[in-house]
Amino acid sequence: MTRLAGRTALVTGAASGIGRAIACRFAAEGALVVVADLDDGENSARDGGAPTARAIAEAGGRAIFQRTDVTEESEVEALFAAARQASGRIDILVSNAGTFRGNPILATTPANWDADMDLNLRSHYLVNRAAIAAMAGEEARADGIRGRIVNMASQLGVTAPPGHLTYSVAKAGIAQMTRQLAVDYAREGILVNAIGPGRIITGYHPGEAEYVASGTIDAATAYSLARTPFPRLGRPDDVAGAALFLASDDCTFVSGHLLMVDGGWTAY
Amino acid sequence: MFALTDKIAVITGAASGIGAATARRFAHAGAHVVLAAYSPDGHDVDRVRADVAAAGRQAMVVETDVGQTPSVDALAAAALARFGRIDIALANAAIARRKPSLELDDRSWEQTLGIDLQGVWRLFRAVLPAMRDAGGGRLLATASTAGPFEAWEAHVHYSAAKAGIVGMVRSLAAEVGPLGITVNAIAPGIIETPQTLDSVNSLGAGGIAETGRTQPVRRIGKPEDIAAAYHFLASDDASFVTGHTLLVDGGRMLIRG
Ligand SMILES: NC(=O)c1ccc[n+]([C@@H]2O[C@H](COP(=O)([O-])OP(=O)(O)OC[C@H]3O[C@@H](n4cnc5c(N)ncnc54)[C@H](O)[C@@H]3O)[C@@H](O)[C@H]2O)c1
Repeated sequence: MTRLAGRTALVTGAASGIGRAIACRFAAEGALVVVADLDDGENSARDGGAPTARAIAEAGGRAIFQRTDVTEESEVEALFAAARQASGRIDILVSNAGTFRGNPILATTPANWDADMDLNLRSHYLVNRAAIAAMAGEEARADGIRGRIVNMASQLGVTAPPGHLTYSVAKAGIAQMTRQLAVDYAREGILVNAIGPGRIITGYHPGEAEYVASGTIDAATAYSLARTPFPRLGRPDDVAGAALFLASDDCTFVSGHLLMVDGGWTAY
Repeated sequence: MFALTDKIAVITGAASGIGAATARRFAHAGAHVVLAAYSPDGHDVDRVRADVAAAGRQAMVVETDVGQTPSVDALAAAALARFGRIDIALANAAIARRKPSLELDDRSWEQTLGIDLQGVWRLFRAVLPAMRDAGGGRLLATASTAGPFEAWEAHVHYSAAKAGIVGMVRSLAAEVGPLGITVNAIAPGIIETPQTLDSVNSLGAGGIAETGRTQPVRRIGKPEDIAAAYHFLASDDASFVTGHTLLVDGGRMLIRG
């Protein structure tokens, strides 16, 4: 399992959930992983950027943790400086940090619109801009590729989640930014793709097995389970498998694509 | 898990182009491969068979006309008789015949739709019972950008078939998802294969070279580009991907250039 041997991958939002699964999978495939997150996990044994890096090291992988608020330009700059110092080259970016939040339009204010966009759209712009600046200056690898970027969009940027205006607009924006950057940097050998996860059980959710066993499945999750053609909900590892494909040497001719990892929700 | 160790894969159109590259790729990943080939087309399936064997995997060649239901049923039966299961079925065989629409008679329409669309369905239908009984499987089909995503003049029948695959994949994914079976397609862009090198029915060598210059990535695709993506879709890493059509086109549909 050395599909990312010799590569450096920067993963934002890697303290928990999907980002953490991606960081661990990439490290298991041989990458040096730069774990970026606002949550340093000083007070947690499980979640947090530092615990993710520790878990990787304990499994025999290589990772560094850089505490980063991806909404702050200066912190994003510091993140890339730290990554360059650790490895000399950034081959892969997974721009994943974000939080599910939004309101119906009449419950929004211009101030919370800005705050939501800062977190769920502008932060991806900041991180992508820094990554492209770094990648474009590198020598192309033997296959002509300088770098691969994977942006975390969402099924909820394709469908419209009732009452979550800013989230769906931001996620749709990430997908379109992905297409634009794919076109603008294809010639430089930078492949830019997005993933649209469906309902993935992360963070504050227990695993779906626990839900089913305890019989305490909440209404929203029960609906998601019933609505998803595949007989289970998604797991962070499902998204990590897709991210690995898009970040690996096997991704040679895919760019600007929104890969849905949703158990068939949007197909249905 | 990305490896396909000891998986059984059936691939139609396996003697050339995308199908052959995918057969080789699957074998290198550990799968045994049933190569469905249509000998009147004159492709050398023995080279693909030899490459699968050289990878240390079992290859089985089955003469198949995907335009004929008994032929496809026999393909599935032969694969099951030899290996006992089918984990991956890739419906990849197709034809492209240039035909201005004012000359597109029933015969041409039925021939292309019969192979390019119904041929996909014949394979899926033939392997579904075994996948249901096994509790899962991977159904894959080669669509195209032409039809679902862009126009191709004088190829209305081909476009209709390829757009039809995208619809089939969606609906079948919803229906067989509860059985643990995923259904996905790849829509390749311009890939250098015998189909695109045919200057009568497609772009020809000059045409694909010119197209390569205008694509975002500044090259046309190789069968291996598609094979790598099929490897992902066939693997456990794609467990939660279903009903999806993966564009492998070097970004060409983004600019429609
Ligand atoms: N779970 C799902 O069903 C699902 C579905 C579609 C999309 N997504 C997307 O996947 C991504 C990961 O979400 P998750 O489900 O793993 O949830 P999560 O809450 O476990 O992970 C989000 C991570 O982002 C970090 N983060 C938040 N704000 C940050 C900031 N300003 N700077 C740096 N890090 C910050 C958090 O600390 C956390 O570690 C998000 O972009 C989310 O929108 C999730």
